[in-house]
Amino acid sequence: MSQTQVPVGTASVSKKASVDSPWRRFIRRFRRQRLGMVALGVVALLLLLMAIGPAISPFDPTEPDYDAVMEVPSAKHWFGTDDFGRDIFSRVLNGTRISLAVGLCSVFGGALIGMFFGLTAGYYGGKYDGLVMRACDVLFAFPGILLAIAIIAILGPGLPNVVIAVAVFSVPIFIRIVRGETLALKNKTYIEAARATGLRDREIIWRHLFPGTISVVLVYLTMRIGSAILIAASLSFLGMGAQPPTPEWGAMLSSGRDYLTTAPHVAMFPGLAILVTCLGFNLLGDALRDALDRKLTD
Amino acid sequence: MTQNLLNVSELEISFKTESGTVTAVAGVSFALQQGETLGIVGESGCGKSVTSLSLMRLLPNPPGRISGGRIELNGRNLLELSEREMRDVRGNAISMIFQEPMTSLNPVFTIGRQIDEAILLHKSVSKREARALTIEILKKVGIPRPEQIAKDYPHQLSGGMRQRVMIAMALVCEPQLLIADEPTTALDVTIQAQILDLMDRLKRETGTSILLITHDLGVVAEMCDRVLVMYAGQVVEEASAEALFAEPKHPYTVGLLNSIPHADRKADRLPSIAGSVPSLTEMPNGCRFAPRCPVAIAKCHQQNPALVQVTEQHKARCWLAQEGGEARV
Amino acid sequence: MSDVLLDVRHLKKYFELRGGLLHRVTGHVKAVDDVSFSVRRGETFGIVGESGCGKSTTGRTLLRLLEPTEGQVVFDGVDLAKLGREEMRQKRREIQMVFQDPYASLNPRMTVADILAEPLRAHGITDRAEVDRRVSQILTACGLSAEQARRYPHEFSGGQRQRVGIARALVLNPKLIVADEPVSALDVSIQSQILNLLQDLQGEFGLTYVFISHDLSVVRHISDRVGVMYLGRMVEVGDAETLYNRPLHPYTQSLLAAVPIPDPTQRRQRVLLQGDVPSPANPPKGCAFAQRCPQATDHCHQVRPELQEIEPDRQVACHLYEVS
Repeated sequence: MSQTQVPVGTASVSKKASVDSPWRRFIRRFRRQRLGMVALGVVALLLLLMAIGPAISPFDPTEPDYDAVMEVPSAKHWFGTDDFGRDIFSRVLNGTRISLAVGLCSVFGGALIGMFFGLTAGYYGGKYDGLVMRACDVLFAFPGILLAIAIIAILGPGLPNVVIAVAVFSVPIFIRIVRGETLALKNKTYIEAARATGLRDREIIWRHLFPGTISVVLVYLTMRIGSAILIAASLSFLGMGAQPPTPEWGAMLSSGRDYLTTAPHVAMFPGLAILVTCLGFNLLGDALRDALDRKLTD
Repeated sequence: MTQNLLNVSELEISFKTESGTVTAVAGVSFALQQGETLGIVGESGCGKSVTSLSLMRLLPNPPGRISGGRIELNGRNLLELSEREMRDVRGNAISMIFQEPMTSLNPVFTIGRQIDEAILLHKSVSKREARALTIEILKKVGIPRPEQIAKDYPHQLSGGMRQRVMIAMALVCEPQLLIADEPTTALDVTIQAQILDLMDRLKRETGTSILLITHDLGVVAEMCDRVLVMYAGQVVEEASAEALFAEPKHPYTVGLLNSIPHADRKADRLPSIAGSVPSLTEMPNGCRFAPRCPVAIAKCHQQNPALVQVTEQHKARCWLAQEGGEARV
Repeated sequence: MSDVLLDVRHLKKYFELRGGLLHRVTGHVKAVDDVSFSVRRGETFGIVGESGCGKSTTGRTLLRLLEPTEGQVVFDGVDLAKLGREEMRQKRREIQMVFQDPYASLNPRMTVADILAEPLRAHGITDRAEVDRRVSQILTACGLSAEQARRYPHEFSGGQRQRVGIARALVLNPKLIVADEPVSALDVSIQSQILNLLQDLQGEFGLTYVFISHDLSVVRHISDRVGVMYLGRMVEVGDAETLYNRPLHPYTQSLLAAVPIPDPTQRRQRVLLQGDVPSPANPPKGCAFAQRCPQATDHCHQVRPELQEIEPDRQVACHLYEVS
């Protein structure tokens, strides 16, 4: 016994005091990406504006001022004013909260539901899996925006219903990716080892499969937020989402459309806001994907 | 030294990693004569596979790089050749077989077509002549019904058959040197015996030199004339096969030989080498084996010995062996 | 208390082959085809055979990681094949497994401490102090230090990871360990460390091993009794010493002859076994080995030989030794 009691091979374990956890490695890789860091900055700023935007906006976003209609950007009105004389800067600022809230809520909701079905369908397989996948196929058969419009048509216009509509069409996407990841993980020996030691199914799903899929979900989640915001804006643009005078970017874009030649700033600033937000989330998603340790997900 | 087919001197290979550049192979030298079978044994990470890849200049670069030394084939330094000249050497003067034959065969082409192409690349023959040569070589490596098998795809063959095809492909241009990197590791023992037998027979028929990379000392004993033992990127011992197994000079070789269980006799307990191979980033200053060596003296921890001739048959990288002392435990 | 801990009787595991447009069952792969053997308390039973012979499937079917198609697995008087899901889960406390690949068998996202605590928690041992105590105790027994528990698998070498894998199997204090090629992925010098560890632990905890490997030398070294498998069938079972010194079945004979001996002075002319193993989806009608057997007769091709006890503790499935 004497020989095996000695701790062996200390040479290959790094002598650093700290433990090289997967999380630390992720941070190290992420910080190497310049564009990703910029995107992270943009997203952080947006989240900050979401919290404090209304407090720092110089004007009431819904209060008309008929003395200052369609003014071009100036020192007083940074982004100019719209056809009711409302300060566009204040409206864009307040719109951040709405757009981000819609994007985050719908995507998180969709991801949560998608992960549940994806994990269980992938793990249990069989008839249940078939049923879930056919349901996904049905949802996939509709182009995304059409599905959202159909849901709005049933539920009626309004922001809460936009959230539901966008969430519903995110669900099948998350089911697919989580199920795919689960199928790959399920064949790993450590899952078999977990079964062999006597873990229950729910423990295997929760402790082994869920943490394994979370990294991929995080990437898609981030990227989906950008497109969810875009879809929500499109719905509002079509008059099915936020109703006037709510300062929603899509709705603002829609009302500015009539003055595109005479007063382009009315449509331009909410449009830019959508662009920057989508770009920010997409680039962040890209950077997350690159930073994720392939050795872990493989 | 001029009659040597292959002369490798002071070969150094480095790798770029996340934590900086590491030296995977540090000053490896050896020679290979015409018709000889030289074995390189060592455990994973000792640098044996990297060495063999670098002979073909097939080392993935980046991250790997041959950072020093010479590789001379018939007196010509391969490291100075252009990529184009090198292409002519590969598969022609030197060819290689790998551990997993499936990954080295293209799944979308038939066996016959792949061997045909290897021939057409290096020989000026017609397609018809190439196919005739293909059939002939397939027959030679013991493939039954070679005409039909040539029309099969790789996945239709068993592992042993695939390795035969790989050997056929490697030998079809009558190379002077065949590098076999763990050629039988993925195979079952009865199939391994078939393949080893085949390699041995072909070597005697064609006079090809073989460089056999393996971790299996049994395979070495059956196949090799001379053996290099590698540890942590260096050659620690070089000897004729008989001398190495009868009288190993380096404590690592001794430990390795002692630690293998035998099918023909039973030991109560296997003597084992404590600890594990040092990582490339944390190489000891002295002898690289010193931290695990049961007979290490103070000097071993301070200075890395050179590989020197200790007997007529033997070179060893060990202070004790050089001082005529016993390396045995 | 019976001398026999594990008694496997007529175990079968068939995998369905499906094909065609309607995904119908078109055939069966008989991975394990009527295998019987018994393992005594405290001994090491080695199962040896080439790839595809069904040795790993047998191991997994014992633990019901794969559901047996037919047959009995009597463990300590209880037929595991008849247990319900939850009963079987509870029973896993007493039968554990060590896997081949120490890289794939540990979850890369968990620390060693978590990996070792998991089986304890799954079986209702949740007290933190108790869990910590047992984790560090088993780590020390397996030749690792308790402070290494904080680390992640990728920070360990292959041999150390296999020690963690063994520790996980032992932490519940089981009676039986099924070890599936536990040293095949390891280097020679590490292999001997792990083999010694397994032997030490067997003495210390009174364990019984089913040791599955393709490596004849390793199996000989560690086993008290050995079973040789070929194409889903057990062709020879016996005491390790006698089986290796005097192999009876022609397959065992050629298998042993094919092992390269690490001694260049013993280079010999091998008797080479011709051809490949037949497909288990379409096994021969008679003896599975008949096609490659140098001594096969017509009878061998027609009738499948049964595993018969031909001398004390020696069973062979071969017509050559049949006592009529």
